[in-house]
Amino acid sequence: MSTRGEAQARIDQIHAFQRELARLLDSKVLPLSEEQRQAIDSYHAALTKDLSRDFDVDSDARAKQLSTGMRIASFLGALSLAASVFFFFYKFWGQLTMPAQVSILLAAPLMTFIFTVWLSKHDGSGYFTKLAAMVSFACFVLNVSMLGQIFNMTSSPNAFLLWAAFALILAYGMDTRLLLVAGLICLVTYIAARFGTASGAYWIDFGERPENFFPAAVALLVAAFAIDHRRFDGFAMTYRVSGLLTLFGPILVLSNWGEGSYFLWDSDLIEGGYQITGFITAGLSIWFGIRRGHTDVVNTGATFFVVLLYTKFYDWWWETMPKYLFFLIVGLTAVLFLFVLRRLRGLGRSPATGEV
Amino acid sequence: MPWYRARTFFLGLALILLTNAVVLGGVWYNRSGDPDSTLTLTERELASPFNYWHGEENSGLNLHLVWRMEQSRPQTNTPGSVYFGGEGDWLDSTKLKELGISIHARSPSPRNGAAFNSSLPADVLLVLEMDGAAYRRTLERACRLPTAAAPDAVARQKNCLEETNRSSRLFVVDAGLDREALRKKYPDRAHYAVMRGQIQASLIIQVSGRHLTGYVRGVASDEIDVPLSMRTSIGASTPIMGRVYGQQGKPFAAVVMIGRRLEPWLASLSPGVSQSN
Repeated sequence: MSTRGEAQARIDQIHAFQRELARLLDSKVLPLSEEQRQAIDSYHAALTKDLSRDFDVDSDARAKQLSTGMRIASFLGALSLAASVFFFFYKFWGQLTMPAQVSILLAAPLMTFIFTVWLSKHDGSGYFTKLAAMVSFACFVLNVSMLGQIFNMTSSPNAFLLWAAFALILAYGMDTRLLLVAGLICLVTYIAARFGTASGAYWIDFGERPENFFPAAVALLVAAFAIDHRRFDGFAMTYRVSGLLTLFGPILVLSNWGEGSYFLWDSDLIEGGYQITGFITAGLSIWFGIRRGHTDVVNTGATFFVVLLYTKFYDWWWETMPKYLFFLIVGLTAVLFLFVLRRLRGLGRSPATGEV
Repeated sequence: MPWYRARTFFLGLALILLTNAVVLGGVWYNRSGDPDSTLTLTERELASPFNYWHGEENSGLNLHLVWRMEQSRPQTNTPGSVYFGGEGDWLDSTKLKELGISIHARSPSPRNGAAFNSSLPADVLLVLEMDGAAYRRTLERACRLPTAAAPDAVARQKNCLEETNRSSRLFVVDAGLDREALRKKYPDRAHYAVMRGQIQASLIIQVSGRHLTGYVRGVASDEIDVPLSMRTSIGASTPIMGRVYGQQGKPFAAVVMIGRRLEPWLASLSPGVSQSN
């Protein structure tokens, strides 16, 4: 057992087994002697105790509910503390001399980072460590951006690479998905900006050409399958979903805005091409997700397929069709989609959830 | 310490220290040796940004470079108003071609603007001229005496006063990709600064035909931080305000240096007298 997720899954398995065993005993399907029952109970009690001690898992439903609450509180707390760091510095920086500004900007990420690493050794639950890690990341972002402002430096996408590196170090070191997402967003921004400047454009305008995001999408999807993330709960899924969103987002934009493409063809042709590409890639991701048992890939692909389809329905029929008929068609399409996904789920391969 | 925690610690520490070393090293390099140019500006050329979130939540003070482009044709519908746009007489299709900026047709027989691709702003080097020929020509045009019967005589008189006493004398007069060539062309480092900026092309479609023109989208590093020592040196307890949009600010004289990386900094800031020609 190497991750908290695996430990929690084992605990959940034990609880499910205990509930099913109780039913079997009530129905007298499986008679067990008192000795056998005690042996099973003792084994499960000892295992639960060890896992709770080593991984801080939820040992019952109430603990699970509280954990969910703690996760939400941790997430909101992390964002709020990060914002507080920013606004605190902006409030008082103008009253400091330049050496004081530079010293504080350097000390803040250093001290918070050292504290985060120290805290990770003593914080069994990990929630406080994740909070501290987020504050440390905020301090580093402030460090780089404020130095740029104080010394009137020319803005550059390199800052995003530095932020990505720090976020990923914290994400892997402290096992925190929030910082993994932050790091991937920074990395995608950096890669897209670099591809934008390769065409001679100013880097800030990289979003004007959504195709700049495709190399980043490919990089994330390759990383999702090339890097071993078994020790990190949810990291592989985060890479997969981030990669797909980075791929699908620009396709959706370009399927409605051909003028934003690098291709020097007629806009209608470009939009049509990206619409077809969008439906094909969504279909492929659903197929691949079912084949490999990745529910997240299936759901992301299905969601994008539906969004793309509905935007086309709107383009084709909103102006010309009576509204009741328009929404009837949208609804019937959703029902059809449900049937298709249910059928795919029943094919006996790794199941899709059937959610649209 | 477990190996993964130790690795995290040393990697994170190294990244923070290396980042700050590189950034501060770059600042030292930019400000070392002789500056690329040294301009003496006033409250006419440096203003507090009027859309910036100053005041309660931000105690910092930046001054914003107010630059202009020379336009011999009237650009606005309001007679006598000062032009602050990015289009200029010198930024024509020839200059755009020299900078490698173009717009292409998406279809063989393009009929409207949508049939052309939109250009993205290109990263270029801009030449800024302080109180030079471009300003003198603009002033001369603004102060040409109108005929007594001209309907816009009053407005034009106002414009002449505005140009004489308040408008920025800092003009973007040229652009290029080769820094050495630009500096050779404009060797006076006290009146000409080379800075990074962005130029974008736009296509004007008229009955007479299509016409490619460009405009300066922005000047990089045009927000200059004012250190605390300079704010207090003139005895002001509140931030000095330059020309905020629509306001007459306190006069001051500022020496702005542009360094080896073409990044500016404020070398000195002192109270000045009102700048009228």
